[in-house]
Amino acid sequence: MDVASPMLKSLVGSLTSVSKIWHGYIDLREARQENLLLKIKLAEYQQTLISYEEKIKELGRLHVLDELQANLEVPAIIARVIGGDSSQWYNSRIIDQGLDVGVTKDCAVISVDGVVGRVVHASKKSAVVQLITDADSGAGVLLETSRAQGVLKGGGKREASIDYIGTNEKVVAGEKVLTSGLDQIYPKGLLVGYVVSAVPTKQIFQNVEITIAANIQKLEEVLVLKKEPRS
Amino acid sequence: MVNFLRSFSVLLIILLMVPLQVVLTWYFPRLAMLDLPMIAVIYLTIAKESLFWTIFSGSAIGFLQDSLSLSALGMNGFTKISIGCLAYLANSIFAIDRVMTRFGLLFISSILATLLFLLLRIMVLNRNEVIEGGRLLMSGIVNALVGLPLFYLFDKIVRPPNE
Repeated sequence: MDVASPMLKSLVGSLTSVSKIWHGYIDLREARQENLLLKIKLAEYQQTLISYEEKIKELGRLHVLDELQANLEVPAIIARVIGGDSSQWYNSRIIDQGLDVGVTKDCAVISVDGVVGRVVHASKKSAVVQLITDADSGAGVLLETSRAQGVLKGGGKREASIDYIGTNEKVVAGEKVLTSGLDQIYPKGLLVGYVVSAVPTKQIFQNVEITIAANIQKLEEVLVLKKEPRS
Repeated sequence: MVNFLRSFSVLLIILLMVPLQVVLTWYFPRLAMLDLPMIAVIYLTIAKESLFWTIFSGSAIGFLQDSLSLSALGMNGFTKISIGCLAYLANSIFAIDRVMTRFGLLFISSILATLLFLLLRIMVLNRNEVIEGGRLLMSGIVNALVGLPLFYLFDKIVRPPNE
């Protein structure tokens, strides 16, 4: 017994150690697998969180558009931007609302920041919007303080110019540019942009450069102002 | 059956290029100088070696592009058919199956398509256009660089493996 017990003790001790190491190894393997699974789950949750955050942001934007829609004198409909222009020569966007809901040619399109453009083609379910920055676009505008009226011409990018502002008009940088309503497309009083510079020329008109208020490059939802009167 | 599937894939390429262009220009406005529909027309012309395919794909893609854009109906179609015919002519003279000849064809076609479109805008729509040389060259290079891998991809889809 005296001889066998130390041997038995050390054997049991060794076996216990081996068993501990083995279990530790098994646990480590399981922990590794668990860790991998948790990482995958974490990535999934992060993705879900991002999509929820996007939804919350979208709801926020839609809420602002809803408020704007309620305050407008003309009936309006919310549309989503679903595409850009199919060629490099024009500035246009495709929206997901069309003739089915009353979006017709020459309907004005605005965002919470300001005027975006007008509908040029409309099909049943979608429409093409010519952006106010398009080089071929034009809009009747007036300056908020001086009340001088002119025609806005798109510059291709976020800048635009106003033609036919007389040199005798006092135009100040930062002044708001609003729609005049004279073009029969954009209702009067919508924000278009802000004056950047006004340079008098030797002719009777001055060169007025403006920056467009709406963030054209980041348009996601817009309001289309219908032609029919609000019922 | 295989031939039918290949023809179907060609039609799919035609139909997909314009919506792809529309989505790309929305997400990445800087890619506006890329002309995916033109690349598709050139590829179909040199792959099919048939004027029928040139005119068919050019008019179909051009019509689709015009309907989703602000341009007058027919302008893109005319441009695409003209460029397709040029590619057909080039393909009958040179072997457009090497990287350099393909690059050259795409580069020249892109520049000519731009010039032709601008000419149409000036003549038909009475617009004042400024031709920016740098932008013209850049669009030629971008179209050629994007067109080469696309051609390789189309080769895998459209052409039978033994060709």
